[in-house]
Amino acid sequence: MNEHNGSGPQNSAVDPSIWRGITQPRLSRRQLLTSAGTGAGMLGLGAILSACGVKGAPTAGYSSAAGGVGTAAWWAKQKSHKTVNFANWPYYIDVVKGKHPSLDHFIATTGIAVNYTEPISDNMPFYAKIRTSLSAKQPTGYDIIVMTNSSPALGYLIEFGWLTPLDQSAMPNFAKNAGPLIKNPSWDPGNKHSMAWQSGWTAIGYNSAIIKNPVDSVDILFDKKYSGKVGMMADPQELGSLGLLAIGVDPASSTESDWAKAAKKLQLQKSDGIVRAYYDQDYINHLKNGDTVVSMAWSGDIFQADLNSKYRDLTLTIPNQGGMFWTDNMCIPLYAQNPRDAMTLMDYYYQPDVEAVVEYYDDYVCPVPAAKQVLENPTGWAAQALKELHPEIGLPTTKAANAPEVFPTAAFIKNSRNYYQYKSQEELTAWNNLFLPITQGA
Amino acid sequence: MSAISTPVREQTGLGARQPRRRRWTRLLLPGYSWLVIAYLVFPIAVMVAYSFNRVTTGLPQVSFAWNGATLKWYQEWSGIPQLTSSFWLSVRLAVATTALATVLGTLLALALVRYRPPRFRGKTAIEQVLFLNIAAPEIVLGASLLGLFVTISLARGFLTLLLAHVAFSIAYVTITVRARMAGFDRSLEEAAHDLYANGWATFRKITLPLIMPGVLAGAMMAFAISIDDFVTSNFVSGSAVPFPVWVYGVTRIGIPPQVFVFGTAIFAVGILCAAASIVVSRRQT
Amino acid sequence: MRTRRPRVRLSKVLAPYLLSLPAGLWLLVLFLVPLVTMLSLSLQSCNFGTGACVMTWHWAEFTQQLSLYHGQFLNSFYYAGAATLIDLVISFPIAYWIAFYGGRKKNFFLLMLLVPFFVSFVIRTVVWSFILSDNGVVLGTLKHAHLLPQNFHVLATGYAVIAGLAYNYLPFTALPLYVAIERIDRRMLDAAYDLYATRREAFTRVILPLTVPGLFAAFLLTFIPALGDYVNQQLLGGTNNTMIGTVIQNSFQNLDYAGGSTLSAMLLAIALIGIFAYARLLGSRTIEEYL
Repeated sequence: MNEHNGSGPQNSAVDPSIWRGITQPRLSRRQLLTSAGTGAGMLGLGAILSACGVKGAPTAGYSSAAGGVGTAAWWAKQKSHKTVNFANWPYYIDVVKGKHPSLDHFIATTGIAVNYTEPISDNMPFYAKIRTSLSAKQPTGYDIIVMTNSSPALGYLIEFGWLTPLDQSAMPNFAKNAGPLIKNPSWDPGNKHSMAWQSGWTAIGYNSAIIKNPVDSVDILFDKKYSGKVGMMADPQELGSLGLLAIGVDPASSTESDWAKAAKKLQLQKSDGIVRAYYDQDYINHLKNGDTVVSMAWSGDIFQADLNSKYRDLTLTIPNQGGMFWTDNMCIPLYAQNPRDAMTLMDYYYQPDVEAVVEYYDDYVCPVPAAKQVLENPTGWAAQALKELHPEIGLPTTKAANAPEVFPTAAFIKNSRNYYQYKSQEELTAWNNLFLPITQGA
Repeated sequence: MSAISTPVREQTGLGARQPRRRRWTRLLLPGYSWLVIAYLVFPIAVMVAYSFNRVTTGLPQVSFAWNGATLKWYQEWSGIPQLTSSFWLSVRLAVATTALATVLGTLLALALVRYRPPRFRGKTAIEQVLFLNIAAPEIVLGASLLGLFVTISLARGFLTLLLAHVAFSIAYVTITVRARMAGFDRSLEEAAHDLYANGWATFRKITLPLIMPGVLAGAMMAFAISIDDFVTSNFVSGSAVPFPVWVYGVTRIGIPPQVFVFGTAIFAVGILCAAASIVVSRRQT
Repeated sequence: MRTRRPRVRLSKVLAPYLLSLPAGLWLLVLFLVPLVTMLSLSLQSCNFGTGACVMTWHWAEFTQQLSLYHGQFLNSFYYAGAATLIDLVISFPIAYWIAFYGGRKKNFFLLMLLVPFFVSFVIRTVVWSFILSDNGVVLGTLKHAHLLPQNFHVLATGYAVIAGLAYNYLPFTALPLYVAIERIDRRMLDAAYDLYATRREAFTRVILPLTVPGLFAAFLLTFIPALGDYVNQQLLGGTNNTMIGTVIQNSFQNLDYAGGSTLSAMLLAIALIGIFAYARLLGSRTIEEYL
């Protein structure tokens, strides 16, 4: 105990009571064994449980035999149920004062009710969720979903036959109005399974006030002059494709040895300290805040940033080596309950005036080039809807009409490149094993 | 203090230290605490400020370039239907989770504190499970729950979200209440029994008021965890997504300004509850 | 006068089981069962596309993943540990002050600690990323006043990750500390003073040892979630700050459930071992009793 003056023992910095506590045995052998036993028991239980788990269906989900799902005979039997479930990405459709003008017009003209939800925050997690229903041959609850072609998710869906082939005879607007970039694309020849919703480029965004010379090559991203101020994307498909462009290879026709070379170049870029960080969607904030001066960027983000006077220096460029062209595609999952109504809704969005309204809001690449004329000179319903949206957007409609990011010029189209289509699981694993360690290295 | 001890104190010189103690407790500690609270609130304050930011052109999204003040986003707070519905879903979910988890967790804490083996067989097992629940990374909980729901063909929706949220909240409530109960004086309950109070009356009039601070702390924790949960919710939500999941998904296009409005609203409600607690506690005395 | 029944009533025997049944059942079905399934997944081989999994007792998965990602494990321990220590240091004074001097306003201060965390973490972290940007409010002003070199940056470093973790997990530290400190009997302090203790002695020899279980619980509740965190590192970190949580998230994202489960199982095991060792050091009887 303490001495007269109330000061503690002089020789120890730590109180003896604490030392006593530390040195006493705490975990008895019995407790340790009990825990170990519980752990072993749980593993055994796990083995039993794994036998009861859900097994995926390795073969095609639908049979393409006569009368099978998706054939002309099957479609002839599909009737309208006057309702459709549309799952999309958040904030990806025109909205003003709690209503969606394009959807409301659809409901008014066709009488089909639309249940519009926004559950897709990323391709793979959404695919994981619907895959479980599809494997069990159950309806997913959605009639239209929107998947990006840069993600393996769309490839899986097509490969395993989990998308209902579209009724080619029920796509008149598409056939008439679809743009060249998304008609008969490499990821879905003949548009057998999908129709584009919006597209965009993954290209280069830079601050033209700091980088005075106009940029036209991906080499700017590897320039040591901007060490520590270069932003790259963390998605392995985007990163790998850029690496391939940087070594002069078209990603769509690349080989595995090309991938290895691209990975080496990207690894060097990282070890040289040129990359500040590998970003997901938030790269644009860092470009705006000045943390990065040049970055891999999506065309729509730069277009939006430019509209704000404070960020007008941000410039988009599609380099000579090419810019990756991605598309968010509408498709109908298998076992959908309202396929006929889904076709009607999907084709509805290929009317120029409808797409003009959506485009005025979204400002990504428009799948319908004819919408440009509608934006320049709106008439009828579209004029009304655009006027409603105008206070929200604050732009003249001609601004969207004249933007090459929205209605691509021939030069932009020429420089568009497509992603590599994986032919097997092993290829995808090989790709990810090359590029994931770069983004998630310690 | 008795008159006897005071002279002893002065002998040891403790009396001379009285003014310094007052400086510690009157100035330094409270000042420090307010500083910590200010640090916690700082980004929220920035968010509130920028919720009044005007958007000049283009798709309405939050911008950290100040363009002038406007009340527009507060007037059009419900302008984006899916955002509004996801917000209300989160609120309903958090309230339901808090209610369920607090009840279940408190009952469990009562059992754990009062009874030991051999009267309570399996107590150690339960404690280990609780510990494991907290130690397990949330991403494991989320992915495994999704697997379970699919195996039993339970459609993802509010129910699955509630089941998941309560599952990871119970442990936090239990340990918070239990920590509070560890110093609980059983003789008070025995005295109540001696006065012919049955179990329920004892619980209501004696036990509950005494453990209430712990129960409230546990409830607040459960609410905060649930309303802000992202990882697990991302896995087990269906077509209706909670607020954090929606906001995360929308960062790809651009965060609408209404998100900051909702954030401000949540914060304002929280402040109101805090203020209300002062009023309530004033009235109690 | 009412006589007490001599034999023990069934309800009294069943009391502990009845009390713990609802929570116990919930945890069994919705935590243990899925967890066990997940653990068993780490030994299986899965087709990423279809999700078809076969139990192959693939123990090599563990060594494989460990050799690939030991760096990220270390990162996680370092960042989570640093953030937890910072949180403990920051939280102790405020928890002490609220518990001992909060008076009637205790709940108010507790709520003030928690309320910022009602707002979604995505919003909070986006705002931090703006506040801490290279030429933003904080750094820009300091650079303008020439207090910092022009190319100084906080974001994209490990320090930003630690700061983000410390910020986001502060209530997880403060609340358990408060609860533990609050239940200390004030009369112990009076007894200490009566026995000629100085204020410093009373604090170090009476209060501090009594708060040890609370410190332990607070450490646990902060360190463990921070270990598995990935959002702070993704939004605030740079190229070399990857935490194991990001790798796990990416694995599940790319539908590599076997790999992700393996890493989760390892993370869990390492955390458990570390905590048992820590518990021994701090002298708590069993971990569970102080939870």
